[in-house]
Amino acid sequence: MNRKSIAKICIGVCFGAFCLIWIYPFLWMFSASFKSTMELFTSGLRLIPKSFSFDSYERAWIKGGFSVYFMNSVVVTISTILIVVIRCALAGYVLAMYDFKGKKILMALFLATFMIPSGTTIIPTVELSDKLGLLNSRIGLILAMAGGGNIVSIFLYKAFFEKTPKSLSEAATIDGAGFFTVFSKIMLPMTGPVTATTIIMTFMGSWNNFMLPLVFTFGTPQYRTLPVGMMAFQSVNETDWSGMTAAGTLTLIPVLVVFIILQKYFVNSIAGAIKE
Amino acid sequence: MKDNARLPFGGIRMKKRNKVKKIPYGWIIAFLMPTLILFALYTLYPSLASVVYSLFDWNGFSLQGKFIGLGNYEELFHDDLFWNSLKNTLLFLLYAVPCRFLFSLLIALLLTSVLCPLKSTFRTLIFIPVVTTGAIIGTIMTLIFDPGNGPINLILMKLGLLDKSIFFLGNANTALVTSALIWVWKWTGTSLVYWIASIQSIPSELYEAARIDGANSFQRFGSITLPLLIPFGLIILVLTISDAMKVFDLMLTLTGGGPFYRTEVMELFIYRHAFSASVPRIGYASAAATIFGLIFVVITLAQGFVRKSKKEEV
Amino acid sequence: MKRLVLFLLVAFLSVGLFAHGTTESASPSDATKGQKTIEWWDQFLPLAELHRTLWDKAEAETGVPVVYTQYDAAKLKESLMLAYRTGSCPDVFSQVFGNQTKAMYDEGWFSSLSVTKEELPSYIQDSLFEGYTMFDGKVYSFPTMSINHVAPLWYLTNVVSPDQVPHTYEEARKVAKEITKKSGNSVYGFVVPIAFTERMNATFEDMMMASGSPGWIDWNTGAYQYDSPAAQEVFQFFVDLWDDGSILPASINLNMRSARERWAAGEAAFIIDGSWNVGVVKSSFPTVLDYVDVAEPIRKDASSPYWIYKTPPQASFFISSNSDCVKEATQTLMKFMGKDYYVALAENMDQPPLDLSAVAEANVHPSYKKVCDMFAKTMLYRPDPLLRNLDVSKVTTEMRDIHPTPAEIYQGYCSGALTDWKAELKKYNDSMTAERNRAIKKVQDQGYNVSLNDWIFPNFVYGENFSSDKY
Repeated sequence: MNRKSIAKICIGVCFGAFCLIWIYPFLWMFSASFKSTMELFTSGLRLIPKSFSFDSYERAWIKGGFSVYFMNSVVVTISTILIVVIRCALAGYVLAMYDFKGKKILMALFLATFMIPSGTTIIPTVELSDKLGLLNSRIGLILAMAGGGNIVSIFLYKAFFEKTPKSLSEAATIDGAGFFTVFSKIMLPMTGPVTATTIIMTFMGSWNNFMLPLVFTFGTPQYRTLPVGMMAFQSVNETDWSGMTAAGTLTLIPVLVVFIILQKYFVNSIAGAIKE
Repeated sequence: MKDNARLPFGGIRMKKRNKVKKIPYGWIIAFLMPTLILFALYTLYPSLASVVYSLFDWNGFSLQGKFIGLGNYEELFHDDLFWNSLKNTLLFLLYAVPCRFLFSLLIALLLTSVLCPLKSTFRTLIFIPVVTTGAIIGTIMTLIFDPGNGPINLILMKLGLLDKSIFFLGNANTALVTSALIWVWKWTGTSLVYWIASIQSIPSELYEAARIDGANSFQRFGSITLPLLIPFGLIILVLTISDAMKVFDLMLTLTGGGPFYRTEVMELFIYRHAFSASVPRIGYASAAATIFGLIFVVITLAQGFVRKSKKEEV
Repeated sequence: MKRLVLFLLVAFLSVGLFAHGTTESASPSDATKGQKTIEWWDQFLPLAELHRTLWDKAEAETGVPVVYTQYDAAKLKESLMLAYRTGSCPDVFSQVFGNQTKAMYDEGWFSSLSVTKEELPSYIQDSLFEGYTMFDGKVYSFPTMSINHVAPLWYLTNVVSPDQVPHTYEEARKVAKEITKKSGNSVYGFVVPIAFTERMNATFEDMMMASGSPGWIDWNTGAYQYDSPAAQEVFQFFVDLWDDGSILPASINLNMRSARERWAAGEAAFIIDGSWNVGVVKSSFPTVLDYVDVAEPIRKDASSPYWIYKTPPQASFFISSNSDCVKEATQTLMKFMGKDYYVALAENMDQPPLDLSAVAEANVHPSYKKVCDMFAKTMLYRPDPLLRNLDVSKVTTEMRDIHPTPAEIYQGYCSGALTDWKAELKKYNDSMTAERNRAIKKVQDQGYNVSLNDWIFPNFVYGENFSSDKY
């Protein structure tokens, strides 16, 4: 076993060094949040700040409106995740299990729209939401965020369900379970990795989304989210770098926390369920 | 316990003897409803509306445009910068997709192997660029690639690979490749997550069984891991291609489409005409979006076709 | 899994609620539902404090508070376009669409002020023009800032000695080379925001005019001047600077903000920028404020007087047509005039106030006074076809952007994408001429009375002010 631990240490060290280089820009951003703008550009790429000041974080909190925006971001993101996970799991399941009429067309449609550039689609989205009376509301924003894209999540659930041994569902059916029971009690609980992935991706997409929250809160600035608040740091003539990097760090932490916590659920949870 | 034939929504359960599965359309429609509604409203409608806009000569100030049929398309055909952005997008795909795809797979394999310590720490670290703010990345990359005292140039020159420093982000010939590599750096974390989820879903019993049968690690990789990863791999490939096609924020911050339009990809071209031109032209931009979309839709469907016919041959 | 998700939810909600509890008075949640507010969008963050005092004063009179959102200029354009389509434009917004005011008016974007021309002070009345700030006899806005240019030459006195300050192209080229060589490429002669093409085009034109040219258009013939000798000279100057290696190499990717950051950090000796440069230094780089100084624009021949031309000043703020508090918004806007306002504006050291004499009374850095003095002494009005014939706006709206523009050509040259910039300039000139002709013809076909003559002003003389009586 000695060879193994040596190999482990080697790999650990090499990979560790690699990772440090990998996250260098983040370290720079973090250290920049403590420097003054002047120092930022004279010190170039050096990481240790000469003058340490927490001013920028205070500024980020106030100027960036963190107190209000954070709550909004949380509400919007959590709601979006709920909707996305549920609807993608449902759709992925039936797409995987059954070959129904129209399935091919639907899949083709999904794939096709996946490839269309989104440049000008913001305009019809805004107009449609306006007609439905959904603008300037959090619900409208949530629906727009949960409704666009997410084709990948559907496909992932589909692939996952396809690979699940049919024996499971058949066994349950024999035992008399109905369609919904099979889905909710047998298949769904096993989707650990895919669901965790979907949660993270949706979290990230929703948390960092700028354009949609901006557009949906034109008249209701109290509903704005964090990325919109970051606009306050970049004005026409100057950028409040330390404030912006502080805000960037603050915004980043929740996503990382979610990521770290959900990582445990990447572990294969099927293991042990099948004893055949 | 349902012991008899009737299922809700009108399906009929067949007896076990009959192998044909009866399709419960009721449930299927119910399950698909949320997706279908949201998809129709927020993906399908905007795409179709975009196509309609492309038939109008429409500046951003007016509420209405003037119908000109295919006039925008005709103009696009003669627009050098349109073809330029198409070329840039394809080149970007060529550089960025294989890199991100393979690189993230490699790291995923490393991070799921038994020999790797501190797996979750490394996973998190690799993911960090994904959540770092775009605007900040632009600035810091300019510093890193600075021809004067940026580390990249310094290292390359010390290693003897370069005799004069190049401004990688500002040189017409290297800007696109450099942006592609930065994009790979930023988004590898996402692909990594998908790969790990895929690898983790391979039941470990299979590996156990193979090891008992005497297969070594390479054989196990080749006959278990690879084949089982293929369906996921295809999705990840499609995802990567789609992401690469839609690159926008990062490119805007890194180069703004420059120098001299050498890094203006599809989304930047559309944005420029739709919003940042001195007179915004939504119709023209939508026409560009439609053509770009069509090209890629055709490629994707053709690809799907080829795959399907291959499957049928087997 | 469920337990974990629950835990996450609780954690987030508690952080969120805690955060909510630390609400400061500056937070936007003050603007609660039901109460009338004035939504105000602009990109002038540096002026926000000054504006806040004015808004509070106005609120005391009108009872309607102002809710301010700062936007990045590019995002502001996009947001306004989207907001307009759904009738959710803010009550007051800044005009980011350049000289498209008339076109926007035609499309119904604005509400007129609730005061008439006669009710405004005389110095404001003198600055109002039909087509800029007045339409069909009604007042829609008024200028708050004076005309200014972007060609002043800024430098730090701890890097550049007084005898090194150049006045002509030749001197500048020589000094830049010296400074770069002497410092061993650690301090470059110039940093130029090459990626900020809008600004570079303006810089080219301003320097052309300082060298005796009428600018991009020769007003006596109406012809474009993009490949005129004057244009080529300016271009040659910048090309020489680049070829000499006197320009900070990273400049290719720099916009104005980042270029200024490098200059203030000491990586380059000279930077060409507008009057707001010292204002930005004061707020972002205070440690070098004492070393900031400014000189006249570099030009071909420093011995003769020069003039830089701009069209008469345009307005910054307009009231949207979907505003429900036009009267209150007007009252708020009315605070943006008067000696006190101009002095306060000058003290922000941004764009100079409409009344340049206020600068002398303001407590500002000497270089700002120098720059405003420059503007007062060397700037004149030039003709604008729009002011003589309002239908010209239809042509400008119809004209499509031609690329590459001179600034983009310069960027192409520096990045190695092209070498024959002269040919590119000529191509641009020909394309612009053709495009204008096409646009004129199209607008004529729609029934409007426009022609190439609208761009010809035979009574324009370089050195004279083209005031409104000359039209």
